[in-house]
Amino acid sequence: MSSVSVSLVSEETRAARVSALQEVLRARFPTAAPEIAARADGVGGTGVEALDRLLPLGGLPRGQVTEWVVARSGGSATLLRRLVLHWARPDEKVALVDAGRTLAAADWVTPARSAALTFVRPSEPRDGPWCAELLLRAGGFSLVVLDGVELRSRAAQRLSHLARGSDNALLVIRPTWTSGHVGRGGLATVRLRLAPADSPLLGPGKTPPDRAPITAALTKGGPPAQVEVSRETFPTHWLCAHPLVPDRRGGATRGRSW
Amino acid sequence: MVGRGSRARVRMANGAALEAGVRPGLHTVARAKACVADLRIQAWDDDLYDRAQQDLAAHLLEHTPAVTRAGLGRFWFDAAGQDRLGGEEALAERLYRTTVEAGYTDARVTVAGSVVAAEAACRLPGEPVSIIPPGAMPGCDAGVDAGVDAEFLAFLPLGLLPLDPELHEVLQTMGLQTVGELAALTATSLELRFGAAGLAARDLARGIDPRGPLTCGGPSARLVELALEPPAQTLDALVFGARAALVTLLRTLKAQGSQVARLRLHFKLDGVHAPTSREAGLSRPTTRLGPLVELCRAVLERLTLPAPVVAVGVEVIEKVQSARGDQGNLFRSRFKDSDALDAALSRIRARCGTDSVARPLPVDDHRPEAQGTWVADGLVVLDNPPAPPPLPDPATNSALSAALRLLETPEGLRVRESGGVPMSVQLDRRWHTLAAASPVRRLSGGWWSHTSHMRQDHLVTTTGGARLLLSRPEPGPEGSPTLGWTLIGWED
Repeated sequence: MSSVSVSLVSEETRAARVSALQEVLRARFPTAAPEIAARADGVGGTGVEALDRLLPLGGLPRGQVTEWVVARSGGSATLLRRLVLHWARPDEKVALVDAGRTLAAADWVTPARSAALTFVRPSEPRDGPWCAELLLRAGGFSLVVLDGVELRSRAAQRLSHLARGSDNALLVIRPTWTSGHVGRGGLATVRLRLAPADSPLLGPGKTPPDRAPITAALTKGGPPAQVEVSRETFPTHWLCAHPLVPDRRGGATRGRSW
Repeated sequence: MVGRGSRARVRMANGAALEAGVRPGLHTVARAKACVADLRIQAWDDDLYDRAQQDLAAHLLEHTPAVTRAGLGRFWFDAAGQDRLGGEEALAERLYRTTVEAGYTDARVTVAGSVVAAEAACRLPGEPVSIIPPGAMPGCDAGVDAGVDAEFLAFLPLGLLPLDPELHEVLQTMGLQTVGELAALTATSLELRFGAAGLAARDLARGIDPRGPLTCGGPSARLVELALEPPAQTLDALVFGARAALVTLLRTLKAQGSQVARLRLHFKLDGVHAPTSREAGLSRPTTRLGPLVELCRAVLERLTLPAPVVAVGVEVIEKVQSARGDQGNLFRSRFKDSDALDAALSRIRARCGTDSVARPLPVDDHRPEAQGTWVADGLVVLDNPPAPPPLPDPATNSALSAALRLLETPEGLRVRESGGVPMSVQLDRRWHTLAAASPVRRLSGGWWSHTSHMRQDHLVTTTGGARLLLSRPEPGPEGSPTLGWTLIGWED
């Protein structure tokens, strides 16, 4: 067991010793400190550089709960797809619980080509936390994503406890359009708020811009900060179907129909 | 002929002698000679018959890998895996032809799901080759051998079952004439009267026969039923019964080197209620008791029965012959126990539906919401899978392309428009001004199927940044009512 003694010494020495004390406390009680204890292999990147810079440890912490509170068109599906592509490897399995059943199948065909990704789409959204709980208990996944559901406090406690015990990362994506509030409590160690950047008023009949940036704000787990992530939207010629599907229409170019 | 002198009795006779009235086992030699004057009698020679059976078995082995001598003049064959050689019917024909060529012209060959049904069919008059295939009887599920055999046996006389003579006599005294009448008796009453012999007789009557050709796995019991006394009224009591049945079943399967891939739970209810059953599948075959008990519990949790359960049965309706051993790494903190994962996915399937573990597939369609579909994912591979096509490296593709969120059922919403162009939408009980709205995109198609559509789509952006996919049916002729707008989904 480590021990630290503090005495009345010079300002520099005191700062160094306080810092040492903080390190010991972080190591001994990782969840008691406001910031998360960093571990060498305890973080997985998101695949988006700007987001990794925003997150306190440079990614999703393992053994912790990360929460994304998202507005409509806040970019959660876009970022989630990149995150899953980044995580899913033969030795890192990912489970995605689509409790809201809103993810579009066509967008996930490419990530699903990896055998490391398992999709769970419960018929009822209320079964989502139960599914995530089972998957965490099974211990076969490095990352479990629970998408599109409002967690009740008891379920949140259980999931948080399981995530901490299993050394797996748990990402909860909570839409604000179903609950109507962003929430401040909860057991998440890191909370990001995702929202679309405001759009300039172009007027009726004007085509929406091809770029729609995402605003990501850290609201828990570190000092408040905000970044903007660039996002390309669908081209507007609306001609081609999914790239894996042979396109039999003569005028098609690359891209997708929206 | 066995025995000597006046005690010599006929042990076996050919067809002509039987037609003349000779009764093996009953008639003495003198009585038999009285039936047939020119009867040719030979002393019984065990070695002779043994050699003859061995020679015949050697010929039969050319057609099927498993031939078991089941007594004098009887062979059991493994008829599985003959699909590439014409199936079971072709196998039966080949076996019959070989037997006749070997000199046994009155041979009978029957293919059935159980030995008891096959032997009973061989003893019935009829064609020399007969098939009792799974699914041949109306109302029976394919692959459920016991159900088909039970229907076949139901109207046959009780004497065709290989029962203990004393038990047979008692059953006849009780007025039972057919196999079906025995099968209809409750397991509890038979167990109370005759013990294990009673239960075994009932199993035979229901086409459940633990005997069979000795393949690498030995006997192939697929259904184990357990009578519950008193009848179970709680979930825990039912799970306990199912667990006990699973223990017995798994013992047999482990001896065979088989694993359970799919099972069915049978419940017999107290009173006049009809029996019921539920099926459950595993994402990965296993012989571990824990995941199977959890699967049974998950099935039972969602089941409401109208009466207490007097008997619970576990039937393996799909099994695989495979031995598998995963090597864990003690020094890896995130070792993946595939069986535990399978149990979790099985419970999810049992509670949330078989398609709850899904995978996406692309679909050739020009409607944004129909360009992909979710299909049930049957198996989660945790071992080394075949190398998939290379995935795009996220690091090399820095641009984030937007993904969609789609509503399973498009929601109706109110839209203020000007000249056919949407100006604002009411979403989440608030009106949102539209910052931009794409020109109308007209879609039509599917007239050849039930997906017929003719509509106008818009991609709109609210001043708050939400990018919505709106749609409304194409207006009809002048004067027809205008149908409302719907929200298909949004870019996310």
